[in-house]
Order: sequence, then C-alpha cells, then structure tokens
Amino acid sequence: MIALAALVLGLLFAALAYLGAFLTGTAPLWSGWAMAAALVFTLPATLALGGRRTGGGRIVAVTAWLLAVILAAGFALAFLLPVEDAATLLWGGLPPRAAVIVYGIGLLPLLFLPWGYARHFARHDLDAVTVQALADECARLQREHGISRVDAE
Amino acid sequence: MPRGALVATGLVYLLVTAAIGLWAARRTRTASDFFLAGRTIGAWALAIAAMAATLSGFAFIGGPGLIYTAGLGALFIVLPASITSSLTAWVLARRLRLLGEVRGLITIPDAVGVRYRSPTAQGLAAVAILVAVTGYIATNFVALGLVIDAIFGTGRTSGILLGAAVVLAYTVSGGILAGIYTDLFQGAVMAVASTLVFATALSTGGGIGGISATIMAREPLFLGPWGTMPALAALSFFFVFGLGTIGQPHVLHKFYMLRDPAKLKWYPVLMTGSLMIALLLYFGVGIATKAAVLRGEMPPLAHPDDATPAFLLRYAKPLLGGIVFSGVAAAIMSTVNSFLSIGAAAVSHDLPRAFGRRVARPLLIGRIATVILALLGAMLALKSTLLVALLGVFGWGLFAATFVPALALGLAWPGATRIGAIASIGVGLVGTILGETLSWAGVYTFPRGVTVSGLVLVASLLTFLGISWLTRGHAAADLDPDVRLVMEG
Repeated sequence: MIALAALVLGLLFAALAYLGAFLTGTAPLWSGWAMAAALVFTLPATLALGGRRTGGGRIVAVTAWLLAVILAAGFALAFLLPVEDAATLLWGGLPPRAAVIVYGIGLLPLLFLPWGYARHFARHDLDAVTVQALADECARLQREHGISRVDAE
Repeated sequence: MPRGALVATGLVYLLVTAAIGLWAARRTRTASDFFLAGRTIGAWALAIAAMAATLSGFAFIGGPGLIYTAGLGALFIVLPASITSSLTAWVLARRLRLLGEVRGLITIPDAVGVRYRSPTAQGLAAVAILVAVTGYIATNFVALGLVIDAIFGTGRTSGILLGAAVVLAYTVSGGILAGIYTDLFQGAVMAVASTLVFATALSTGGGIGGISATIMAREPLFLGPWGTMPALAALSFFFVFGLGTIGQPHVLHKFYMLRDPAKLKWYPVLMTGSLMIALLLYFGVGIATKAAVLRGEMPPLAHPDDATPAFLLRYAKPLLGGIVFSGVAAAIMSTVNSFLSIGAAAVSHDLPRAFGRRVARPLLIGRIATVILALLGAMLALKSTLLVALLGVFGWGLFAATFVPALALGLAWPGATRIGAIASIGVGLVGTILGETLSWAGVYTFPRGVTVSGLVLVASLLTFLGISWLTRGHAAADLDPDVRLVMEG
C-alpha cells in the first residue's frame, strides 16, 4: 500500500512538472525539481511494488529505500552545487555536478541493485522444487476452474 | 580509412550472421521454436539478446550525436541503464517466466489477455505492437541502408534492400531462435566495438580529465548536469527511459524463452553489465568529438549524426572502424529481428485470439506475417522519408504508455481491473498517435522540456490507477486464481 501511494504521489509530481511547462510556456526550474521528485518516488515505488510477494519484504524495502536516497541526494546535489568554471577542481575527471550525475546516479545503483535482486532471489524464489510445486498447484487450479492453457487452445 | 578493411570486416560479419541463421533454420520446426526459441535458452543468451534488442543503431550513431549537440543532458536517455534491468527483473522477469510456463504463453499480449481474462485487452495490446513495430522497422531499415552504404558503397536504396534481405532471410527461416543466437554474436560485436572505441576516445583527449578541461575552458554549460537542455527535459528522458523500459515487449518476450527459471537470479548482473559496456561508445564518442572540435583537431560537424563516423575516420584504425560499423549493423539487425518476431506473432496469434479464432498453421502464418512486415518496413523506408520520421518516434513511447501500466503494474498489483487496463492502453495508443502527429505536423508545439512520450506515460499510468480504483469491486473477478498464485506466490 505504501508503494502504491508513493507511485501515485510520484506520478502527480510528474504531472505537476509538465503542468508547470504548459502554464509558463517554458520549462521553469521548479518543474525540474518536480520531475526529480517524481523520479525519487516512482522508480523505487515500482521496484517495491514489483518485489512485493509472500515473504519477500525486507530486502526489497531496503533496496527501494537505498535507491530513493541515492536518487534524491544525486538530483539535489545536481541542483544545489555551485555552477562550475574552468578553474573548478574536477571529481574523477568531471566537473562536480556532472560527476554526481554520472558516478552517483549512473553507476552507484550498479553496486547494490543487481546484488539485492540476486540475494532476494536466493532466499525466496525459484529452485526446481518451488517451481514444480507452483506449476502443480496452478494445474490443479486450472482443472478446478476450467481454465485452459494458451498453447492448448 | 581504406575501404578494403571495412568491406572485409563487413563481409565477415554478414557471413557469420548468415551461418548462424542457417544453423537455426534447421532447428526451427514448430511455432514454439519460431516464436519462443523452443524455450531453450540460457542466462547468458537471455541477457545478451535482451541487451542487443534494447540497443538499436541510435546507441551508436544518434546518441553520440545528441551528446555532441546537447551535452550531458543527452546522457539521461541511457543513464537509467544501471537501474532498469534490476527493475525489470523485480517487476516482471519471474512473473512472466512462470506465467509463460503454467499458461503456455507465446506472446506478451497473451500475458495481458490472461491477466485480465480479456481478449479485448490482448487485441489492443497487439494493435499497439503493430503500430510501433511498423515504424521501428522502417526507421531501422533506413539506418541499416546508411551503414551498408558506408561499408560497401552500395548507395542508400541498395543498402536498404540488402540489409532488409539479410534480416528477413534469417528471421523468416530461423525465427526468434536465429534471432537469439545472432543476437549473441551481434551483442559480442557491439560490446567489443564499444569498449575499443571508448578506449580510443579517452586516449585522443588526454583521458576523461583532459576532455573535461578542454570543454570546461570553452563551453562549460556542455558539462553542466543537464547539458544545454532545461532540467525538466533531461529528467523527463530519465523518467521515460527509466520507467518505460519495463514496457518494451521485444525485450520482455525473451523471458518466456529461458530454459531454467532459476537462472533469472543473475539476469540483472549480466544484462546491466553488458548494457553498460555497450553504452560506453555513446558517452565516449559524444564528449571526445566535442573536445576534438573545440581543440580544432576536427571541423565542426555538419550534422550531429556524423559524430561517430567522423570520429572513427579521424582517430580509429581501419580494422576498428570495420568492427564498429559491423557493431552498428549488429545493433540495428538484432532490434529489427525482435520487432519482426513480435509483430508477426501479433498478426498470426494475438489478433486472431482477440476475435476468438485460432490459426491452423501458426508456423506458416508466422513466416508469412514476417515477410509482409519486413516488406512493408522496407517499402516505407524506400518511399516515404517523412512518414518514416513520424512513425519512428512512436515506438518507445507507445510501448511504454501501453505496456507499463497494463502489463508491468498489472502483474504486480492484484487491485488492477480489466476496465483500467483497457482504458490505459487506449489512452496510450490514442495519446501517443495524436500527440506525436500534432507535434510532427507542426500543428501544436509542446513547451520546451515536455515530451509526448513522458506526458502520455503519466496520463496512461494515472488512468490505469484511477479507473482501477474506481472499479475496484471487479478486481477479484478479473483475476484467475492460478494467475494470482503466480503473481503473489
């Protein structure tokens, strides 16, 4: 329910961002902030909604929160850090705000998202016994409710 | 750059592709082989094929050109790559793979149909696929014609015909089975090309720090967080390409083909890694070309799409140039193959099912549909540049607006209803076609920073959630118990 509410909130932020552009005819800075807020809510919320299954909660929640924090911090720094010039010290070969975008938003999620999924998968998902049990139960439900397979129709 | 090296590399590439197609054709005997590779592929094949289908020629030609023009803002199209594979895995991989197994699904619209017990939703999803793939195929054939012309000097028309013939030959004979294994080869070519060019790009500019110093001294806005775009435009790219990825049927379709669902565990690692490697060229060539132009080593580009060819001509060794051009051809051909496959399935499987019918010989009809779609795409590519330009912008946004709500959220949220799904697919279809046409024809100019795809994606998602909530009393009846078990178990 929290994930669904966060998703709706994120979409309303996105709608607000576009509304700002329509009302002013340009793309005001606050529209950018609103779209950044939309991303901070929608992507982690979608991940949390997708990971929601029986017994699958903790790793999904931690991963979604971590993603939200990285997106929020990254976008906030990109908006708030001072504008650079030729004398600005480079961070990892890039101006600070660009470095935050490329290394922070672009690469940091690599360090935990795929591993979070693998860990979640190992605990809750698809070993051969689980898959067979699920398939058997689905076959029973299909017989009971008169449901046919697509490739058998 | 000497043409001999280009031609030799291009020929080797085409011969290997043809050989794989021939091998796959001998193993394609049933509709399941043709549309689902017989459900026999492994984790590496799944990840590389998904990467190859995701990246079209845009990643190698249009993308670096856009970076050259718009600076860092253009990076927001590919920046979500570190997130999207994991997001797709969490939301859809497991559910689609299991649903495919327990319900014997063949296509992505099948999944929409069984989720809501609705042939109408399946039919609308198939229509969305047909509209999107027709334009996608035509634009990719145009790009393929240009690449083949660059390698062999055939001229644009012959290049389009030759490229279309090669893709058609291996797709119609070997179906998606040929596609998967050519994708493996093509994905490897793309990754090698991208890595080598990235290294070349860094070495020409004195490393990433040297390139940045050159650009910051003359055009600091270029390396600002949003480049030369408004923040809204760059972040809107992130929204559409971040969330929209979980609605791309030509990629999602491949989950049905995985032999062992337990292998999904490593899908995000493999897919994200290969995607990031293949995208190095996008970033590297874009900023290195900009720095070279600012240093006066290269003349300003007449057209942004010249960035990659001009960079290669100036800095790359002939063999590397040949590999990169083959990589571009590979990116285009693998994408077209996937589009042909899902388009043919929409014609031969989904639309008949939507009308309560079943085709008698699905393999034959699938092959005929593949030929018709390829011919239509080639004809559009040859005859109408304007129409191709219009249709070409539909694809990604249309898929996102129609499949993210109804498929991705629908399979994750039991509260979704049939009416909500049909309404959101309708909003996605009509909104995208209307918005893109008005914008393309110059009837209406959207404010700076607003993309039709982003706007319609928000509208279709809110429609889906809002109408599902209003009709929540129907949610339980719209969901079969076995599908619910797959979604939640």
